[in-house]
Formats: sequence, C-alpha cells, structure tokens
Amino acid sequence: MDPTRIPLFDLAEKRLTWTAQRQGVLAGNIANANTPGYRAKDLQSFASLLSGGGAIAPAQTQPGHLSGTIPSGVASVSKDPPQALSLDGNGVALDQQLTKVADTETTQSLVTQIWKAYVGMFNTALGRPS
Amino acid sequence: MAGDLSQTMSVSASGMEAQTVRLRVIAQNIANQDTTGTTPGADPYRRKTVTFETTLDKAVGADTVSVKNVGVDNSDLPQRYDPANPAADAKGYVKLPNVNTFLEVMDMREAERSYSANLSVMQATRSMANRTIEMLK
Repeated sequence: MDPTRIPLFDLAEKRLTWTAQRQGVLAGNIANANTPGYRAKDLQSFASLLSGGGAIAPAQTQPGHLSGTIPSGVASVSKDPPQALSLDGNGVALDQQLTKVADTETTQSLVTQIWKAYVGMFNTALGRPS
Repeated sequence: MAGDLSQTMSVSASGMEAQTVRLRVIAQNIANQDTTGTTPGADPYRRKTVTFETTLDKAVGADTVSVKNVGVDNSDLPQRYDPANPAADAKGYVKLPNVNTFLEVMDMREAERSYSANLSVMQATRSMANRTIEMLK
C-alpha cells in the first residue's frame, strides 16, 4: 500500500515536513536571540505553501531557460518585520518565538493523532486488532 | 524528516553552548571585581565582554550561533585613594577593575533566560520526534 496515494496521508506528510522545517527556523531564531543585528525569520504559512504561492523557482530571463527541478514542497523562509529592535539591532522577541514553537508543536501533535486514527480505521477494515 | 528535527536539536544546543560561555565570562568578571595589580601603578583586571555571531552550519543547513570573540571592556578604570595598597601609584591612588556588579547580574539573568528558552525548544523538538516515532505503533 502506498500511503501517499491517499490524499489525507499525503497532506499529513506535507504538514509534518512543514512543522519540522518550521521548528528548525524557530530554533535558529531563539539560538540567535542575543546575536547583534540578527532578525527573526519564519517559514511561509502552510496554507500559502499548499496553494503554491511563494515557492522557490529559478528566474527565467531567456525563453530557452529550463524551469528547474526544485521540488514543489519546499517552503520559503522570510524575515519577520521586527516588532522592536534592541540596541544591538537584534529583532528576536523571545516570548513571540516561544509561542510559535508551542503552536508548531501542537500542530504536529494534531497531525500525528489524525494519522494514528486513520491507521486505526484501516486496521479495523482489515480485521486486525488496533 | 527526523533529520530535520535532530538538526533543530543541534541548533538549540549551539545556543545553549554560547550562553554557557557567556555565563562563564560573567562569573569571571564577578569573581575578579576586586582584583587590582600587584606592582605600583599596575592595571587591574579589566571587564571581559562576549560577542555572538550567526554562523550558517553547512552540515546542518541552519543558523547556528557561536561566540565571535571574548573582548575587553576599555572603559575608564575607577580610582581609589589607598596609599597602603601594593598597587598604589606615586600619588597613592589605586586603579580598580571596571566591573559593575549590577550590570553583570543583569547580564547573567539575560543569559539564564536565553538558555532556558533554548532548552524549551529542545524539549518541544524532542517530544515532536517522539510523536513521529510513535506513528509506527
């Protein structure tokens, strides 16, 4: 059984990849909370990634240029507009970043729960004890 | 994908490491707040400062943090009239370290706060990895 053929599993996989990537970006922000001149970054939202907006693509300046082979599931990273800069030019607000971390974690928990519920349904249909 | 999460852990670890270096320098400053020179007119201990920088870890592919350098605070040294001190100059003045305890304690609080923020991220990442593994069950 190829789980990616089923739309829900495909979606869940994309979302899990997105949460893992976002967690990495947020960890970078928090690690650099005291680095002079550092600005907080964030991953593009999952909704805009799904609708195909903001995906990275090579620029085509000539009609003969190839469109490239970058996979469509890569989310782009953008800099957050800073709320307040400290004296050394750092724009990371720790509380804000930690809220985002908690948010990402909750999302990931939700997705894994849904995944498990679906696998349980398949098990029931196949007559296995779940 | 689990690779992403373990990379996240090493980013947080780099943050914790940098804050530990900072805390060590703060401890040095506070411990040496009364260290004067030993010969007449000699310079006392000067406050040390830590600067961080972002490094793009190629293996990890993320913004880790590292200590750029440990510098010296070149601000003016306070002086005190104490002719009996071995470090007193011809006029009887002793140069004292430019360590401000209040500043150091404030800095210590900030280092502590950043450290625990990194730790929280690490804990969150670990439970995310655990949940990913539990999907197999």
